[in-house]
Amino acid sequence: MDLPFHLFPELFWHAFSLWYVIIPAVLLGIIVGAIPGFSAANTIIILLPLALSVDVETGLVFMVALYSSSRMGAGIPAILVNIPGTGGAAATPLDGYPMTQQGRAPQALAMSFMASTFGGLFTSVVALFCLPILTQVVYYVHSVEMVVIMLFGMSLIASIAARDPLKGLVAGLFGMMLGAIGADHIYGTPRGTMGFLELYDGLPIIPALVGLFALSEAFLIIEGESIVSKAGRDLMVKAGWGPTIEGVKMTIERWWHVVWTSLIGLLIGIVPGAGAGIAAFTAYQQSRFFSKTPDLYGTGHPEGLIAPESANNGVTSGTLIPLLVLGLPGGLTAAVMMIVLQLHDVLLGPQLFVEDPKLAYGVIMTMAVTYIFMIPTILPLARYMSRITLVSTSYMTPTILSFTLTGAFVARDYAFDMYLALVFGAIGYVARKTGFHVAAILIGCILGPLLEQYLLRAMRISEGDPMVLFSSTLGNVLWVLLVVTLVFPYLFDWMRKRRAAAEAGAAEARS
Amino acid sequence: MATRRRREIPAAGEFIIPVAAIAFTAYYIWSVRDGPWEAKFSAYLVGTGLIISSAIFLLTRIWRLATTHREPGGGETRWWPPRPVTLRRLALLVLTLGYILAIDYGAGFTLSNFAFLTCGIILLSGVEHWLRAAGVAAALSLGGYLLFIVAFHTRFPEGPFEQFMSRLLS
Repeated sequence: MDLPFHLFPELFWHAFSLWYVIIPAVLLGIIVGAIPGFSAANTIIILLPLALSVDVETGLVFMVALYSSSRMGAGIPAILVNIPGTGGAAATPLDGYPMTQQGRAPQALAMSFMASTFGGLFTSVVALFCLPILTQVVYYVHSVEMVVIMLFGMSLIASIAARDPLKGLVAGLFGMMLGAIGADHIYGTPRGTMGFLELYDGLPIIPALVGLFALSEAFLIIEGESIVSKAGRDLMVKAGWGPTIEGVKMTIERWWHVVWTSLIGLLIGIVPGAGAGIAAFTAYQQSRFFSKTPDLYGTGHPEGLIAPESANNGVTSGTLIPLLVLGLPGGLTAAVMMIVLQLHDVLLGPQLFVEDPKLAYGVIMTMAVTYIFMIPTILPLARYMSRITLVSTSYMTPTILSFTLTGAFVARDYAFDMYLALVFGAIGYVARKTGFHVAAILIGCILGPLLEQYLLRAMRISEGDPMVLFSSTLGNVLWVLLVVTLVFPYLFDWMRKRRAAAEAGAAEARS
Repeated sequence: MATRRRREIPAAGEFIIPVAAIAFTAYYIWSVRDGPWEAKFSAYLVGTGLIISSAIFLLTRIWRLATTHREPGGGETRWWPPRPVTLRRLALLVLTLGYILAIDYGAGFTLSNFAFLTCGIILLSGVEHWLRAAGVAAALSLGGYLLFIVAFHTRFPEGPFEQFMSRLLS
């Protein structure tokens, strides 16, 4: 596949000229991304008549812009009220929400917007120029490699529950067990469904997310007048544009962090079915592993916010690659986009790049241009959006409850999901109050079924031989990296303590 | 040792999650007892790990409770708040359940939302703010109606308000 470099400037300016489609789509995407339960896929389905009534190019630009911006929108409630808009933003509140509680919400939002934008823009450009190479990822990553990638994401549980690893383990495994509810992947045997038909398709993630994060948070925050601390409130009231600009500066200073964590997202996004959740968790875990200050993660650390936001926007670019090159949708939204394109008689696959290169490369170029438009559209709103955290909990709590329960319903149109969200709310409330990390439960719920699916697939291919997990070179390299990731922090910690003890002993001997 | 004795002991609330996890795992394993091995995979692999880790957790906590002086009513992980907040929280829980039931059983999204928001805000801010509560609830409910039902065509069970509006608009 030869890259038609001569087309790129033309495609860039053409995508730019479609600003009147991109900007409304960006605003709509941010709104639907911010409401738990709504997603770009749902919205495109709702707007299907619109997408089909316009020409294929306009429809595609609209869908791509909506898709990219919804990913960014999901981070907004995650930062402001500890409620991720989608599973892809589930790692965002780990450091985003503590920043809000400290009165640094405008800074956190600005960092999230910048990391999302530059992560998405960078990976779109990489996707554009490295399309032939990146396509190979799809061929090299199989069930075995995916098992190890899932374990990378799950190892985050060890990081976030560092203070009490046993509690983290119980929470993570409990999440995995809950995530295993539903018919099994091979024969469709119902498991742990308690007789509810609504659970046969598996545990729906949105009600779990709404319950664990939003409902439990809503019942907790009524203990105070505001979700922001007293000092943070004073800071917020006095804040002008300063924190927003500071957030922008802090992200630019950490440009390298944005680059490599968004690349993690891009590579994971290319693998069909992997999704933004695993990318965000893996990027967060890797960011913490390579950090010189891992202890600050979870306390409102800028890098802990940048990593998941860059990664989940990197996924957005990644999912387009198998869709366009192989006709394989990398996620739900990509699948819906594929249906729309097929209804427009566009045949996806290698032939598209030969027959209509302008359309094929134009999709990725549109994504890059969308990210450029996002900054002036959303960044000025950071200051005003963050004011929502000053609203009294008397008003905030019922609003969160009603709108997130609505979101739980909307994802599948089942009233059952609202009751399910309430059950998860109870689990989340008890977990928070007793020191079991809700993020660990959610990681288990999201990654558990995926891990089971890939593991079962690998085992069936090998006819039950577990050694298949160590049968590929790439897989073995990933296993080594996983072991290094898990062992080295403890090794470094042990060495640091030993050195400190030796220095203390020497100082005592001198005195 | 004296320091350890002075330390606050975690409340019994810490037992809820591990006990629930063990109970659910037992049920899950029971539910797949006749299934093929692929269906039992998670139950045995994850379930075994969960039961073992929960059991270790419970035993260590029980051991700690048995060997140290317990300070009643509190602890570093105390999970019950002061009494007035508890009552408000319980009332809010009942309201939330009522809200879901109202949507599910025919009151529709908009009216249920209005009633829930009004009652919820009054419950948390005081009855003297009823007018403001009703105003905010009305604005949010109408906004929700326009966003979820008119714009996004969410298929909530229709109530009297939605039926009236759809007749009015058609």
